Amino acid sequence: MRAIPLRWRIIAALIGLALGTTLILALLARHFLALSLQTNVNVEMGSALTSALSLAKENYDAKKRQLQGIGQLLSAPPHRDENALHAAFADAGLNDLTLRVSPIEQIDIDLSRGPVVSKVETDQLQLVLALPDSQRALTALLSLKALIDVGNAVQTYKHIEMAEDDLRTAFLLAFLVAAAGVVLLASVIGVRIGFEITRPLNALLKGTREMARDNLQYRIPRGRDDEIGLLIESFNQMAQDLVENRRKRLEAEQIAAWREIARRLAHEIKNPLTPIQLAVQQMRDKYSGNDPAYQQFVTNCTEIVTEEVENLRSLVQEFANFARMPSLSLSPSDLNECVHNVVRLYPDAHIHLDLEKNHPTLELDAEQMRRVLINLIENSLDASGKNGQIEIRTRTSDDTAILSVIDSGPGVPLKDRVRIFQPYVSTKESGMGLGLAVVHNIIEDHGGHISVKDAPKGGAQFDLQLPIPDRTVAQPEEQR
Amino acid sequence: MTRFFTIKTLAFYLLVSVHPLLAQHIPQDSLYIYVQSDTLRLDATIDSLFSKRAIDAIETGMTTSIAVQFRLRTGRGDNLGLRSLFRRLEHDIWEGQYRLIRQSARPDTQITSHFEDIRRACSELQGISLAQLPLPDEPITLQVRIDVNPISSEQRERTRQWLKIIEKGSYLEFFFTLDRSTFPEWIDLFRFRPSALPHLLDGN
Repeated sequence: MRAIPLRWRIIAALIGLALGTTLILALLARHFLALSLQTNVNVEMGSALTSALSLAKENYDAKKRQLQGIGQLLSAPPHRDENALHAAFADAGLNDLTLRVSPIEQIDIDLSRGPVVSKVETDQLQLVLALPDSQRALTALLSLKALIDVGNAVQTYKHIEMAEDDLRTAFLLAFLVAAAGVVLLASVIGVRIGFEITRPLNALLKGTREMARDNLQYRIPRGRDDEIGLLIESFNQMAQDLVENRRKRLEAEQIAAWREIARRLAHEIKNPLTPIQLAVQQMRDKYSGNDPAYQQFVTNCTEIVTEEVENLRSLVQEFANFARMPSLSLSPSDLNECVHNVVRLYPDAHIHLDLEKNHPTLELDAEQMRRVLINLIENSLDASGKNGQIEIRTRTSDDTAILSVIDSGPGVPLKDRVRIFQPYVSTKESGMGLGLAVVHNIIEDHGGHISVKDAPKGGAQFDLQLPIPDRTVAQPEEQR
Repeated sequence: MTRFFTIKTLAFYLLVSVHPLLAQHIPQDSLYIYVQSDTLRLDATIDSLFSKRAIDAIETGMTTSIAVQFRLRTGRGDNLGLRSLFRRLEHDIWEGQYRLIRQSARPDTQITSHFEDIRRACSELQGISLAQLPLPDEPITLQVRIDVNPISSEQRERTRQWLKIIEKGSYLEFFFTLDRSTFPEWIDLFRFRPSALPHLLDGN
């Protein structure tokens, strides 16, 4: 059975988490909602409010009877002034009222049957009576606000009671809709997070597959600065290191193979050279004839063979040297001094030095480095001709010392810039093509690197990059 | 699948559960449609006009609006007449009086201390004019819809202030409203041909 991809597991986990949490919250909310409504709308509350309304009604009737009684009292003699009227109501415990005495003609209520008590303005009880002088009428307005509030409260409670079910449903629906929104949001975020996590993982997976297919040039775009970005960067660095290591291994194998060939070639050619030379010399010496022309011919042939044998021997020596390159003997050395020592060997050449002051001391095999410089200068002289200009420059960049040899020759074609450092490759008509291979080997053995490019003013520029040891202390020195 | 339907059913129930407060009806045997003085008239009695909850609400003093509407429709869906009876019932709990206010071109008020009088006045409909003759002599359906709403706008405002969570424009108002201003659906009451109706003489 195929495993569920990580992306979908992350998304499912996030949605499940949101859904589970929401469901638990929904159940809790439903419970608390029911509890909350029950606190406000319940039998006890309803019963209490109904009782309160009954009491309010009784209170209303009592007030009405009181007003009726006071009305009867005040409509009879003796005559009372306003203070006495107020005192009469106060004695009955009716303080929250307004009294007004007005001419009886202004009253449009029939008072012939005595005082009239009625409810006015929905929240007031009104007592109207004719005072004993029959000229004036007294109007007393008693506020019923407290009682009306009780009535309103009961009605509102009844309304809520009627709407309770709808209200509960509405709360639940509102919560469910909000919860659905939360789950939807969680889903969207889950999908996004899932894709954000798994997309680079898939890219890494693809990268490892490409590497397994030996595609070491494959790189993953980093695109982010978090831990996943660092992981991608590490992967790319690992791929780069693999490429570099493979290149070095291949070069080492190539060099070893070439050296073996050179060793065998030197051995196989060198051995018959001496017998050939001796045999030819004997042929010349042993000739006892009198033909001067033939003797001259033999002598010439012998010289040619001897000369070619010497050339071959020289060639063989070159092969042998290449095959027997010694291991490095490193010691603190001044690169500028190495340059000076070599340039001294070429007094007639037009060599311009641009050497950095305070150039750091390097760990070098001075003898091998001398060989490097000689090979490079020879190479430049060959390319530039006798009147050619050569510039040797030293610089420092971070933890690298750079030695550049720049000539005024035709430069190195782009297609030859890598293979030119391989043995037996040469763009010149003469030579075995070992010089730059030797240079390349020595620089690589120093942990450095050599490259060639077009010089700014034309010609070739060979750059040697050599590592600067950590303990190197810059030494003040002016070189020229 | 069963669970899916259960959830759907529950959701549907939740959505439609804002049901009307009352379920009144007019029994066929109380229905009498006739022609008098070129006017199509109706006598009818509404059963269960006031539900127990509505009576409870009225008894606490809630002002109640009562709306009864009749409509005549042909088989093609043409409206031939619409008659609306609107009343407002106020209960003065302090004085123990009911005031039934007929809201029409000639409004009048009936005051009584007996709820039974109110019930009768609202339920027993006599000589309600439905339409003027002539009417097309084809099958016509009499439809009715009745709404008794004990929640006045003042009461709604008071309740809204009490339940502070239900503010105007609040999120909760998407799911709940205190306004019950929507009428119930029309109900087919009776099907007749005008030519088949009895004619009453004036004064009967």
